[in-house]
Amino acid sequence: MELSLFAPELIALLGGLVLFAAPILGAGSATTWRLAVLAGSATFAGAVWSLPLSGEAFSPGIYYVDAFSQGVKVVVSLGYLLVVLGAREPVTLKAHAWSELPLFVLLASVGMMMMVSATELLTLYIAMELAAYPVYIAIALHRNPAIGGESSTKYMVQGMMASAVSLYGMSFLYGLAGSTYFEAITGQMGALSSTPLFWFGIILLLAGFLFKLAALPFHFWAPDTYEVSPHEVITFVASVSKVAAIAVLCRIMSLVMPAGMDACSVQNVLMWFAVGAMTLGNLAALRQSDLKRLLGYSAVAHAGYALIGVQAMSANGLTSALFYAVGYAAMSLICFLVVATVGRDQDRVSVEAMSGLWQRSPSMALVFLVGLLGLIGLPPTVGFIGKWFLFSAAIEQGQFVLVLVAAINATIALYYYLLVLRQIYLVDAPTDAAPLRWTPALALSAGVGSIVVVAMGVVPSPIWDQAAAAVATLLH
Amino acid sequence: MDTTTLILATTFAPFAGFVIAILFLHRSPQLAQVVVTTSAAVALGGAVQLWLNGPAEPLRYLWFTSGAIDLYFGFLLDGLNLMFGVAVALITLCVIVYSIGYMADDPSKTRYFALLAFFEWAMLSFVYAVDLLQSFIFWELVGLASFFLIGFWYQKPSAAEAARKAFLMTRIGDVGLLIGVLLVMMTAGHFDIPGLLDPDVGLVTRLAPATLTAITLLIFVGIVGKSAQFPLHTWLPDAMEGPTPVSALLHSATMVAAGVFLMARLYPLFLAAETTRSVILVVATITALLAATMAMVDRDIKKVLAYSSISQLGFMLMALAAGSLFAGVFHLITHALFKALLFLCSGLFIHHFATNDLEQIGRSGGRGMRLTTIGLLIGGGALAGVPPLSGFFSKEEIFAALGHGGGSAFTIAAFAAAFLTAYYTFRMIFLVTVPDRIEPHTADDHHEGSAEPWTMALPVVVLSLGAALAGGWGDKIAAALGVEISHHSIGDMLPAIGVVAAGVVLAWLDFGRGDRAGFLTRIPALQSLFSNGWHIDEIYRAVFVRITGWVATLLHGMEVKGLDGGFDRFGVGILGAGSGSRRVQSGWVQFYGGCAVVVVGAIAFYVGMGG
Repeated sequence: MELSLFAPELIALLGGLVLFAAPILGAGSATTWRLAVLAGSATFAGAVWSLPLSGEAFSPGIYYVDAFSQGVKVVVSLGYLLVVLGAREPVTLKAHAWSELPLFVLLASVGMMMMVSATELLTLYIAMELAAYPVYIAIALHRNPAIGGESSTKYMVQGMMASAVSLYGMSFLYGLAGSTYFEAITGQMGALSSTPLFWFGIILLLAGFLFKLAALPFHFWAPDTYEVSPHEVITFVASVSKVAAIAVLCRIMSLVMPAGMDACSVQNVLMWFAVGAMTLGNLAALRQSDLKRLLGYSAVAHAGYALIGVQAMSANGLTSALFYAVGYAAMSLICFLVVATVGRDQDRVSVEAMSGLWQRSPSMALVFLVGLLGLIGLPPTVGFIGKWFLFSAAIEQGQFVLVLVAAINATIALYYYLLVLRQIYLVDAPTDAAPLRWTPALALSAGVGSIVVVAMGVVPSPIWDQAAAAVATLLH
Repeated sequence: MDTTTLILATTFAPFAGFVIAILFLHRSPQLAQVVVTTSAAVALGGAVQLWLNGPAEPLRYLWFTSGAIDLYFGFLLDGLNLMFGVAVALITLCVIVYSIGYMADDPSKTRYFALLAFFEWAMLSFVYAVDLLQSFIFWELVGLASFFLIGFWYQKPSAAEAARKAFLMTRIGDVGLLIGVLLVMMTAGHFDIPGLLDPDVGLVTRLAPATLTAITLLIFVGIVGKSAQFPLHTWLPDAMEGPTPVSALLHSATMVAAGVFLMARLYPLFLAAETTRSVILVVATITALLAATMAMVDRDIKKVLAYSSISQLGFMLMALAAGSLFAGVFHLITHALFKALLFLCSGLFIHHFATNDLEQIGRSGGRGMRLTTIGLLIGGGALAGVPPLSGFFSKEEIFAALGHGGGSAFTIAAFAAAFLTAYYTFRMIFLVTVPDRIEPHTADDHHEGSAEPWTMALPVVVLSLGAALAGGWGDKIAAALGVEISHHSIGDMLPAIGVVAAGVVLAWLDFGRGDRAGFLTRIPALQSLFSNGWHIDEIYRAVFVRITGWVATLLHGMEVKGLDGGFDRFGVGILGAGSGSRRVQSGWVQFYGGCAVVVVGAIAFYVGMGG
């Protein structure tokens, strides 16, 4: 066992212990928050440091550390840090829970970091649940217990169903391959790929991650949960967990890709999920008056876009999906940071609440504009170039119709994003609206997020090359 | 200065102006104005110098590599780009200087000038782009800039609405363009424009005719949106909700010109695609005629000009489709000059009389504004095609192109459209300049200060010269494009002169003696058809509303019924539109989860058994 390979997760877990102990030892929420920022920074530093490492952290075949896993860990830990920076005063949570939020979110992040390294079915399953449960709890910490309890239960029931389906799929894979190790499964791919039940198992396995991604057919939770969950928690769910979900989908696809044409059925299913998610998400978003719910549907649509890359079953496709996931996480993050600030006093944030944001805080409106331009898919943001990568990956596979559907969807989406934009820039703020203030931490978080959104659009190569290298190690 | 410095200065000066103004000059609009004007002047100087230097080797900088494809950011410096770059920079500078007067009292001048600079940067970068993906990116940015400028007076709901409509409709076209560009990537493996157009290794020799047709048709879909061609033309008349100088820019050298320019840029591809050109010819002809009829009846001076833009863009595309690059580009340039001039003149009227209404301007003494009236006459004359103004010569080239390229039906249609153009243009001129017979003058002297401050007068003078003299630039333009042109004899020109004369005479009979009713008022059916824009917008609205209604009902039904279990309030749920969010509380999670599990299970089963 090589402990240094486990460094980022270990740092995060130690940070988790500190965050657990701090409130017990009497630290206030401000102190805990500082500790959380520290833990996030240390995890991020650890992840960056571990970027060039590769090897197996535990007994062989269980837990890979490579460019792929470490790259995603860098993103997840940075995402955690930014979310926590923005959650200095998570007012939508119960006051006593202020110091608990960073802990739960950190534990979920550890789960996600482990998800992308797991190369054994049970490890993957445990990591997946580790990433899920803290979020269920965090949602339940809503300042209004009725809302929190209900929203958390709904999310949890659906999440558990999805993970049960995944587990069921895993049991088939184990039964057929006689092993839970990915290596063993790929080793027998020749025989397995001609077994129908194997594909049955693979598709069921995908369920848990489609759920995290809010892709069809596990999208139902997204609008509801987005709408009523505490802003700070949903900021995390809407950004960081998407990257982890896409990463694991990429890992699973890389597992079956050597099977070649036999894997086409999976490809087909994912393609239809992509089409369904894009279309349903965008159409349903058209008439939403609740901004968080609208962004929930937009998340469903974006899950569909990202799936385009996953289903392309090529190095370029997986790379573009990863790239887009990272970009999307940044766009989503900055949008929700602003939403959380604007909606401090409300449990729900209507589109109307954004009225005249431009007058209340030009810089906050600008951040939101950057996020929206990204979601719309306009240059110079990552939304444009990311979609471009996804579309060209699909075109390389000759999927014109799919790209056409996606492009039409992007146009439909423009409609509701412009409605929000209009509310921000073209409608006057209510006269009694208080001016909005940046806290330094929030400004830092939103600033980094905005820079990522624009920088990845203008200079895509660093992240793209990193993602391509990651995918190359997956496919080696 | 070497070419690299020059081109970087030309394209990035406006960008620098934009950044400086938007970031630092919010509290000093005067300074923002100076910065942006200077940056536009630098851009013009650079563009002119580049043009004088003549064509140069393209500059390419590797942007990044994705997969097997290298994407470049760079500048293509051939005759077409250099020439059009000058036109863009010149007209933008005119508009910016004019805006100093026009927007003098606007509280958010900084934002306005910054956006103009951004617009110029996007357009120039689009024009000089060496890489097709780069073109596409700046094409989108031009659209984005238009969105913000059209909606600049956001206090007006109609302006916000128009901005959204413009953005949405042009983006519909962009769907086609995007797929076309992706097809180019797949078939050619690169986006280098000179490489794509190369007669030996370019797309034309490498692709099957059907593929080429598909690519060009898809690109044309984008052009239809951007250049406001039928059936996506309805955004342009609404776009005049923006400040008038913005309209001047939008309708002349930027935005709508981008579509035509793209076709000219990729002309060899279109030239080789017969079918595509036939389609374009039909669409452009319909557009030219349709828009001309709408311009005949509108009373809003800016709307008349907007319809005329649509119609003239149709003319340009007709010429390109008929096989004459020269005629299309010639008209693109002359039109840019005279249309910018006309909008600036209309802006002076609007600024002074505070009305868009042609008759009201006439009654308030429009011809009292000498310089503006002269500008209107020159611009209008050029638009109508009165010799020897510029529009006459470029239109004559279009007739010639159609005569030997497009077949007689299109030639007749072009003459008909030119006749209508002369009629509606002079209707506009007469309404503004000839006193009303019944109500000759309403005293309206509450306007203080000079009607034509120098900042607004100077651009009008410059553009008047351009609009008057550009007809003589045919040889230069042909040389820049590297095409041979034949000179037409007076005999060839007679039909064109006759058509224009007929239009002018009819307009004079109707409006030249102080009457306010044209012959169309005697045909109410046509009058109403034309003034309602052939009801096209209403049809769209009806269809769109119906479709979104269906979708909303469907999805809402799904949401509500799903959440509600669909039993206790079956049917009522759909009606309770506002109660959707409340119902979330009732939560029917099992249904969700059940759905998901069943769907995945069924699919997995299907795949497992079938695969």
